[in-house]
Amino acid sequence: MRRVLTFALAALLLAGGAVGSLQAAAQTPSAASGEPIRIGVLDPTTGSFAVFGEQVNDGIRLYFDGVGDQIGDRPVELIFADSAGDPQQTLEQARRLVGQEHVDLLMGTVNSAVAPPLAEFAGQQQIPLVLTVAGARDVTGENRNPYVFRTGLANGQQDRVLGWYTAAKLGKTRAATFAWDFLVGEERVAGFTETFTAAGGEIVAQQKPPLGTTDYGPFIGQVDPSSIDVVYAFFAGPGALAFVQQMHQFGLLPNLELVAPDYFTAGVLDQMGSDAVGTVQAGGYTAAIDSPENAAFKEAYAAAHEGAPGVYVAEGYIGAQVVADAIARAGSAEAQPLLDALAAADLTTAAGPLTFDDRGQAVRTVYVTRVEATADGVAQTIVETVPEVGQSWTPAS
Amino acid sequence: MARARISPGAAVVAIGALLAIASWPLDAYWTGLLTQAVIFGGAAVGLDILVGFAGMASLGHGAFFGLAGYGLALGTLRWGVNPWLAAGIGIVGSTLVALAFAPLAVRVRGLAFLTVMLAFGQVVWGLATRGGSATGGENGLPGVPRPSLGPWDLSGAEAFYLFTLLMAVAAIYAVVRFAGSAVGQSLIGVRDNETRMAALGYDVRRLRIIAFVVAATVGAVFGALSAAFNGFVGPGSLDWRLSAQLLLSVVVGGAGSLWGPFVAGAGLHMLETYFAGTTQRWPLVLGLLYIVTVVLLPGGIASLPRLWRQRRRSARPAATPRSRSASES
Repeated sequence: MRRVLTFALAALLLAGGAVGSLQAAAQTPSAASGEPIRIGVLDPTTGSFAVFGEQVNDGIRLYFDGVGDQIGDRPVELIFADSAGDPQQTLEQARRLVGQEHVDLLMGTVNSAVAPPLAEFAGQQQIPLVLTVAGARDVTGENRNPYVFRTGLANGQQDRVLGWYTAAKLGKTRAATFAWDFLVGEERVAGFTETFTAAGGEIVAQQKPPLGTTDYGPFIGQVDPSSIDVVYAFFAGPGALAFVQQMHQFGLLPNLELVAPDYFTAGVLDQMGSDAVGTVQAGGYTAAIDSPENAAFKEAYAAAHEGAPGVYVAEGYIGAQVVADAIARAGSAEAQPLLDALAAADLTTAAGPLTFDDRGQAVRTVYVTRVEATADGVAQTIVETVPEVGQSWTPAS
Repeated sequence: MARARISPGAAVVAIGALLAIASWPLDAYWTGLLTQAVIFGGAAVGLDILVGFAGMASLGHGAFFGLAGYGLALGTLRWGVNPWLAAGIGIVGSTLVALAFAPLAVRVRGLAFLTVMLAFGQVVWGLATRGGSATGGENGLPGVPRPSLGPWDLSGAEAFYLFTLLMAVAAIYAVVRFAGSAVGQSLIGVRDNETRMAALGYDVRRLRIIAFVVAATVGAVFGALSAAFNGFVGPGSLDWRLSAQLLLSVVVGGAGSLWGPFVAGAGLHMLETYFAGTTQRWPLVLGLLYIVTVVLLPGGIASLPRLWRQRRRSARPAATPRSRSASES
């Protein structure tokens, strides 16, 4: 019995000790001039999305380094946490960032699945959330939560431009779609299909390999090449690499046109090499954009890294720029002024002009690119620039 | 070895009360973390009935945890029923699934049972991710509301923590009573020597089914709590990684001790949250922890008090076992 009491006493003492240190940490005076603005960054740095999360973090760091970690007269503190691409862990880390680190704003995330619970959390806690890459449509949909903004493109946003471009500009009207069988693939194929069929195209076949598949033979084999003139593909990383090679082995490429959202060649373009030549992609950023803003971004990137920045670094950089711009205009890190400033955002980023629609989704330029063979490998060139693309874009609008 | 013992049931209530008091000065973040810790600890206790008592290691236990959460989410978000009723639907539904699947699952043992349960978990996971707009696919179902208990609003961190503790104490108290009952004790017999138990006239198959369903129901209770706490369920609430984490909690805690898995389940969750915020090497830390446990502490956390007593005994060679017991009582 004495031991039980000792244990109880020890537990109470432990709890008391923890409280002392917590209360010391909890004393953060409300925003005053010169007080640091604390930004919580939630990106996956472990798990299968880690390679993308690191790049988004690189972009965010790059931007704030460029402005000397200072917005107006207030220093900026970035607090990074690992979302691991997992909703549960994302929520736990978001709780830590808000409850313990007392961040003024949350930003980041890569994969769609973490966005809806995080958006819900941001609404409950009344903390502004700026999504950089995660494209889940619902969070900027009908039941959008007023605390959520997305600086990246929603799933399907660039696919809508691609669908129209494929039918109206490339003149290809008989398509087979290949997309990983999960919600993001569904949302993207739906976007492509809508504008593609509106412009006179027809979806002849839909193939849905399981997420992460690298053997596409069984799926390619089910499509009669003579019935189609274009293939839409939503794959990324090693999956995209394998797909493009197998399409060549099966003889569908280079005879047919291949169109894809820009994640297709992201990070694997050099490995695809000549197999990728001719691939038409639509996306929110390409290193080929010719503007002073992009030149400045590429220069800042080159100072610390090899090669040209990819789309994930750019999205991190753009997200950070939008956040910094909103904080500067709000003159405060309080939630409501910040949200008002975000809603009124109108700035020129490395990827062109950016505003938000009334559901917090960025309206941006979408670039259609084609992979061309160059003297030292392959590169993307811009073949079409479509300004002011919203999440429900149609060619008429 | 006549030691003065408080009954296990009283210990559960006492620890629950202690945890309730311990949270009093904590801020919302720590209270939330404790809530989650209690939920995972409790689910591990439920699994311990299956693993530690009946000797059936399962890699599909997360499915029952998640199914209850999905029941709660579907009930409140899709069918518009009261959260209490929805939680009831989730827990009863999860239990019925367990009841339906148990007769099939208990036909096999050991590694085969582990594999069957893994497959079962994957089927449920597949249904959740392929459920289209009904289950939200990979996005899951955000916006699960927290109920209020009469005039008691459970939306605050503190209130929900106390409510979770109340539920946990009730569930774990029931588990402890079950473990001490004739059925619970005969499960140990089944684990140790199934043939002999059958020869003695026990209905071994029925005992195994009971263990299976009890473990599933306890998992479901904590799964519903988890969904209400997070305001969200997704495929991650029932996938094999959750099942693995629960099973490892039982192993690290010490299968069959009930309190060990609780400590391990709660502790691992808190460690994970801590490490994920400070290092990218959490999986490495976790792996090392398991290896160290298996090599140095095969009996898990629950064997620590015994090892401690043994150390003390060897440190005082003069004391005979008899006098030591007497001095301790």
